[in-house]
Amino acid sequence: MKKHELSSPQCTSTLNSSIILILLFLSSPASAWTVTVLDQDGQPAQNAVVHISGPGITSSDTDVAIMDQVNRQYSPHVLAIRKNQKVSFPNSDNVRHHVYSFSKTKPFEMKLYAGTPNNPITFETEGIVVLGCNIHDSMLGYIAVYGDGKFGVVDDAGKIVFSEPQKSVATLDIWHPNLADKTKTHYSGHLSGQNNITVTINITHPPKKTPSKKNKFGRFYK
Amino acid sequence: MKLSLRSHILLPFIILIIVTSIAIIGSVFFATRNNINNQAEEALHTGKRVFERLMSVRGNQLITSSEILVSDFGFKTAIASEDKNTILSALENYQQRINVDLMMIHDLDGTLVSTTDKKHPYILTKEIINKIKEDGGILTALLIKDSAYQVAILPVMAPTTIAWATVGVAIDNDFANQLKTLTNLDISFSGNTKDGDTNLEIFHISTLSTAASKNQSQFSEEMMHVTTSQKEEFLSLPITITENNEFLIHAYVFSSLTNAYAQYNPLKWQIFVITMLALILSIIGALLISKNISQPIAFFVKAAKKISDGHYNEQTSQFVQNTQEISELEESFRKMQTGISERETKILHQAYHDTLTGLPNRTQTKDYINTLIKKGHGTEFSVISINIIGFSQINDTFGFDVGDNFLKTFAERLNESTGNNSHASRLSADDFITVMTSACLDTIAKDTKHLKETLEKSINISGIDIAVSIRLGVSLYPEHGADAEQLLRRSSIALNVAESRNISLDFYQPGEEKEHLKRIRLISDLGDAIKNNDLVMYYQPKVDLHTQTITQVEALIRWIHKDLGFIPPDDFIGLAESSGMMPDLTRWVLTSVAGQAKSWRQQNIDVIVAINLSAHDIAHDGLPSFITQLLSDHQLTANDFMLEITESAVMENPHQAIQVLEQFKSLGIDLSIDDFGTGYSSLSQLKSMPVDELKIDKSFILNLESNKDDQVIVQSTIQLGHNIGLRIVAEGVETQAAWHLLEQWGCDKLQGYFISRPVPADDFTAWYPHYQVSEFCHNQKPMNVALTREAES
Repeated sequence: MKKHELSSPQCTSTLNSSIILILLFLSSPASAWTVTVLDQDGQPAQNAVVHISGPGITSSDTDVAIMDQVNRQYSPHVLAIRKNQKVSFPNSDNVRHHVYSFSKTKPFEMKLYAGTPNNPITFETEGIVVLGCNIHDSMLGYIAVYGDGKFGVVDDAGKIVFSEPQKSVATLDIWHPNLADKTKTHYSGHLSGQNNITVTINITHPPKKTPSKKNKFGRFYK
Repeated sequence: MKLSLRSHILLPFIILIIVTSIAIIGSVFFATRNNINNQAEEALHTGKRVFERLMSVRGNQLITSSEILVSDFGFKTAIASEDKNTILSALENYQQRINVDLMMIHDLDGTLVSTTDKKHPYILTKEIINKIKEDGGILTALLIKDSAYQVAILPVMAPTTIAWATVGVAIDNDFANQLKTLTNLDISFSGNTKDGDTNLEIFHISTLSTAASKNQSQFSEEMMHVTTSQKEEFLSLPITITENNEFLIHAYVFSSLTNAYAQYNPLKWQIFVITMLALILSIIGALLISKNISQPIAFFVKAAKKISDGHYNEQTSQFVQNTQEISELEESFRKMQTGISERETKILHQAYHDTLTGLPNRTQTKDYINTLIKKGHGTEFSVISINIIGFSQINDTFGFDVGDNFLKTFAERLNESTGNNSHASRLSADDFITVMTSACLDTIAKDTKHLKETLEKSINISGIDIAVSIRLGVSLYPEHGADAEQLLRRSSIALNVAESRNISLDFYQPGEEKEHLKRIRLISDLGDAIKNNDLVMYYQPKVDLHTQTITQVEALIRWIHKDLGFIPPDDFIGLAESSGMMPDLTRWVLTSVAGQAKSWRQQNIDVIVAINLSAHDIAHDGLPSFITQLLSDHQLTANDFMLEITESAVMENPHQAIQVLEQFKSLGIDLSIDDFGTGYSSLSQLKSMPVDELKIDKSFILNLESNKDDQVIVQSTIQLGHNIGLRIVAEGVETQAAWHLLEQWGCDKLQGYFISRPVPADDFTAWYPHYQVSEFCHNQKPMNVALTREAES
């Protein structure tokens, strides 16, 4: 899947018609800088994951990540981890869950359990893992696995702060569960050096209300 | 062409019934057809609803089944395994479990991953995928090669969509039959692929045994009539099952009209039979009615024809008819027949017979004569007109009853006396005709005489002997005429001649008719002449020998006919008397003379005008009063006029004449007896007549100087007249010798050509002043002018 991404023609383009990257280099101090991810409507694109890579940019975090299950939802909705990092799936609900993944990145299954399982699961492959629950169809969660660089999920305002010097950044990727073309958004080249970089992505909003059972398939004919 | 009465009655009946029948059959046909169509449409709509309901139920089952399927974790696991065999086995397993005909898995791009029916691979179109994404699933029908399926396509969520799962049931004959069982309608499905504008049917199933022809290129949702190859007619309602860019699938429900019509066939037959029965019964009824009407009419037509041909007496055979009106008509007809017969007999008799005597009339006599003539050669007969002399006196004397009986008896006698070889008829009151056929002409005179003698025997009526005097006029065939009309007319002319000559028997003489016709013409022209003043008065002077002057003129009428020339007064005065124009003529003369007298008075010509009165004039009252009025109108006195009456006129009816003459005398008018010496008057009568003058007839004067007898008579008459106090006038004085003799004998006045011819008034006016008697006598110069005029006329 990564291979596929790299071969995308968008890799070499600095400016894309559907994805507009504006790099603003603010003041000279080489301290922290912010990436703001907005959707096509200018709203903060929550659950977006921003990943930078370049020489000397590494993440040292090796702790066990937590994908909790609260109120029959995965929490967080999107979790970004380093390759070979362990993830624990504690069940904070008073019902049991059957966590599974059919994703090729990491197919696994944790049959009906309650509380915190003893063995966290290690994700050895880069990529995206879609999490479901066999008995709660509405439960959906994502784990993004990265092999290098620095990454993180944006906050509610669509922002994430990096402290690595911009000169070191070679690529910048953005992923979102509802990305219109379901691929990572990848940028390469030098950043502008501005303190605040805003990235706009195209995402698909899920239907606001689910159709009633009776009219689930709409009109019968035609 | 004239139709018979029967046809007239029959035709409307038959036409009415046929029209009614056609109307009933037509309306039943259209009503049932309409009804059938409506029922068929209703059935089709119901069928459509049932079909839709069934499809919906099947669809819901599909949805339910497939929802459970795609929610199954094992199934999801199998799909996620991406192992084709695993996936296929899983599909087959689930297909059996939920008993469906088709299961397919497509990846998110629509590429077929696995299917239970490899013969019918199918790639999901973008259109369908988008629809599923939008609605979370789709229930539709798919046309895959030659098969059609109703399918539900749902996403396989794990938990995001990892594939599309299709679950389908076949639209096949089983389904169609199931629908047919439910709806009792035939059904067919067809699937067409779309390739531009042309549709290619690649799928077709039907419950119909034979293919229904669909000649519709464009699909529509309208009801349509279709006919199968076996001529079965259907009403069809199309239903669209699905339509997209790729293909379209339709269902058609069929309702058989042929079958529905067939149900009404018995009803149609019943109506047809009833109509035919009604038609036949009506025709029979109409025939009976028309027979009942037309038979009597035909009967009466025959009877009327007989009557019109004149066969009144033949009794038409009794017609048996129980209708009251016909019976009454028949009765009236018989009465009419009898009535006509009786009346015709009567009329015929009256037409040919005289009502009083029962003798044939003129018409029949004519026919009889014509019949005789037609007999041909050798036929000789005489037509004898008979007039009873003085019959009016018989009527006057004895009354009409006696007169009628007299005529009847006379008629009988006439009829008898003539015998078988003759034919008697009555023309008018006292005019009869008899036709006698005789062996030869020689005997006719004898026979006629014999007839006269026989008829003139006196007739006894109610004890009174009445003498019979008749006058006969005879015309002979073939001498006197070629046809009945001519013979009758000439016989009548002969009778007239006899009457005018006062003889009792006359045979027609050739030429008499011409004379007769001339007389008739003069009679008719005389009336016009009086009206138009075509008559003129001439005046002849009289010389008074005592004074030797002209003291009187005699007014003489002259008629110069425009064609016939001068008409002698004797001719037309007789005509005027016999035709009743005498009073008009006399009045004209009197008025004319009065005017002239007045004119002369004004010119101091002092002459008395003498006017001739006829026997007719003095036989009637009224003339004296007319003259009185005339004199006063012209400021004349009685002395200016003098009236001359012939002796014979007086002697016709002396008593009456004397009365009238007395009246004139009392007016103061002098009277003169004209033509004295010719009228057999007795001296006693002469004595009693109130006259002043005698005018000796010119027959005694004309040869006076040579005839001794005349001399004696004239001389004696002059003396006789003078002795009883009358003046004597001599007329016809044409010589001086006569003049001298008369003067010598003491005659008072002279008149004649020796003095003057009668001349027009103007000539007299011119002549009068120059006349001197003495000179005239010596010179012996007649009045040339007057003579010339007389000659001219």
